Amino acid sequence: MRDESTTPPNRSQGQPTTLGRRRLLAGAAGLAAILASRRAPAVAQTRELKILSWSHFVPASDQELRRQGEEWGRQARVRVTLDTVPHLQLPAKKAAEVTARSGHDIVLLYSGDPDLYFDYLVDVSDLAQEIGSKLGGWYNQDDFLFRGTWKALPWYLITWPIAYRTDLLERVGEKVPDSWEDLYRVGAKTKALGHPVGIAISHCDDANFQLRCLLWGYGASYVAKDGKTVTLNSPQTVEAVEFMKRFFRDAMDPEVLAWDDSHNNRCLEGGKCFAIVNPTSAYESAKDRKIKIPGTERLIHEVIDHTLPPRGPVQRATTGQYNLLGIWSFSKNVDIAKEFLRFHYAEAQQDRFIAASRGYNMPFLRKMSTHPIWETNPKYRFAREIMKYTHPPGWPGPMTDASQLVMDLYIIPDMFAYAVTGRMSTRDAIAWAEKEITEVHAGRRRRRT
Amino acid sequence: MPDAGAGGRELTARGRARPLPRAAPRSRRSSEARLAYAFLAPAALVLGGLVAFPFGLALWFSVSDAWVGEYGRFVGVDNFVRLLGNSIFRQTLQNSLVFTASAVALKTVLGLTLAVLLYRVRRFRRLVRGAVLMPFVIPTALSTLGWWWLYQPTYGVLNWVLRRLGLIGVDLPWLSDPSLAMASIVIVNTWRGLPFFAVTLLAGLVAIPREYYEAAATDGAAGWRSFRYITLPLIKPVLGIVILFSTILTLADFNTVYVLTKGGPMNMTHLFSTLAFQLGTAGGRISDGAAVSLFLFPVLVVVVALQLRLVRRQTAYE
Repeated sequence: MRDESTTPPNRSQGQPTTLGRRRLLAGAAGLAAILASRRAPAVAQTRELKILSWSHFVPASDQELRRQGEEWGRQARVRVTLDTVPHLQLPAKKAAEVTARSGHDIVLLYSGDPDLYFDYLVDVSDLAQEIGSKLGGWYNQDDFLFRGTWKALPWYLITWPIAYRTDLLERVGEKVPDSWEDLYRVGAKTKALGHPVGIAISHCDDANFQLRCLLWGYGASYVAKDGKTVTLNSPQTVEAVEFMKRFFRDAMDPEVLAWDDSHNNRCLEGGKCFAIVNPTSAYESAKDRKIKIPGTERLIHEVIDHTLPPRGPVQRATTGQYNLLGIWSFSKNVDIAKEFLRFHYAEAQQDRFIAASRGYNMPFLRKMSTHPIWETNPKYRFAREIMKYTHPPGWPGPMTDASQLVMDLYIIPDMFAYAVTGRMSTRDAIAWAEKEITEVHAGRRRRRT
Repeated sequence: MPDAGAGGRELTARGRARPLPRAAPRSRRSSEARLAYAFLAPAALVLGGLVAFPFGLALWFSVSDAWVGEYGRFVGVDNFVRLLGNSIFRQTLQNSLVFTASAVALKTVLGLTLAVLLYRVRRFRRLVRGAVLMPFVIPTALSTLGWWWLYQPTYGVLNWVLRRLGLIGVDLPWLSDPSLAMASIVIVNTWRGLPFFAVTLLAGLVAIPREYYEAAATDGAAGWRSFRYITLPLIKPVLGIVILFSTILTLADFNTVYVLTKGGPMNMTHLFSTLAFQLGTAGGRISDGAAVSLFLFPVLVVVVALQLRLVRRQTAYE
């Protein structure tokens, strides 16, 4: 409000303003009140909610999340900031925030994070139950209880189906591969034509996911349901490793030993690979960039199709990228964060979020899993069923910091790599991996005691 | 130096005594000392905050059972003992030694050769010397990505060029074969570190007086002999320091391995830094990560002390 008594008469002429006694006193009193209350005055409070996520492989997904943040922010008068970092940098960022007890409010968590950061995450049981009851409940709800508590909200799953070339399948006169043996048989034929199968056996996430699918398919596992007993050394694991030795020799190229997460995409998009086990990103990317089959004018995405991950002699079981959302317990905006998550998990927003990701983000909510996006494109037929075959990476054990470290150290891919390259016998490779996994779990026990 | 007499006087050129300036009073001296400390304080704070504190913290973590976000309890040398029993760590130890020894040896030989060549360049001298620095000034992660692209097994430029030149019949598995993967990361590290060697050694070469070479030439010594008996002994101190720095930096290399192989295949290229990152940062086991990082610290201290002592024994020609 303008105070006439302290307004200089020639202000319009640009002369300096003088500070009157009354204004000075009023200002001092106001400042004292602010300092005493330890809170900024209401007009000066700018509420801000900060979200940390990865740089999504489908950028439109991040754009939609930003849009939702802006929309909700306008309603709630909160400034929402979404920071995205490459997926491999996210663990370091989270570790730094926990150490500093400062940073973002809502964070993207990987499968083992709620266990690793258990003491630094807010209990979101109330939200999980509320959202679950509105949207048909959560798939495999128990998978997300960390020591009996909801420490994070399941966000979305990225699945690993088989992506294969239909034209090459026709050339070798085969049907769509359904099992690992089918993939081996067809892959051996296509490799003879210069089109091998691409399963990474290296230090990358793809290798972790694909090789767990193989291991579980043969009835093997590396840890029991209790999450403590190491179960890797079994006849089933021997069978799985022996199978991969054949597969590597007859249906693949040795380059898979050095692949990162992008190599299999390029192998399929570039026209070399007959099949890979990977999310739909290779297909989507080829479609976007209108990549042609080498030497032809035909677009390669037209001959790429997807089917369920291969089943083994015992079962079809696979895993994928489990993404969850948590709220740091040191956040000063826990209530605001929960409000935003209520908004984001509403049916309308989830609907748009899934659509923006082109179906890449597969929800853990039953009602959302019937999203029409998976019906519009026949190449996404697998999506209707894949959730029932998908398990967390430590399955049948729970998601823990140990299961995460077994992934981060690439112990399962290395076990297969040692065996297929002949650097170790099958039994030695399994014994090596068993020892390493046992040590990882022993470390977890040391922390708990 | 002027001779100060017993009476606190100084003899002038004319032999007359002049009183020495009085020593500053105690209060002034102490205020000057305070000022000196005040000027030193920012540097001390920066060094303390950015070097001593993190190092001390890392030392503590390595002898504790700390997890991410926790400071842990003292466990003595348990972490180090456990590491020795771990096959991935033992492999990492071997990789780190092979990697560092190979890369530093290559950089020394090639760096010295490059420095001698640069010394002889007469035309476009500045341009050439500037261009040599390029690998060193490009951000490491970026240049390593370039190498990653060159090494690609499926569509890599390196294999394509070698095949076109008729040097190979089948593609070389640059990053999937354990030996070739190690060679690949050594090549990248050498490529990046070579300019540091070359430019620093060039500075040493420039500082050698030309007269030595002229005298040697008069005596009939030239080429290899002048290099062996003049150049090499006189740049030994610079060479020693460069090798010392390079050993430490090479042993701590992270980007090359993280971008190219992430420690694979089969942990055959894991270095201390990449394994420490996986255990400490990604896995949350801060104490294990710190122990991996500091495992060779005592050895390095001894090596540094010995090398510095060696460097101090400079060669002088009168």
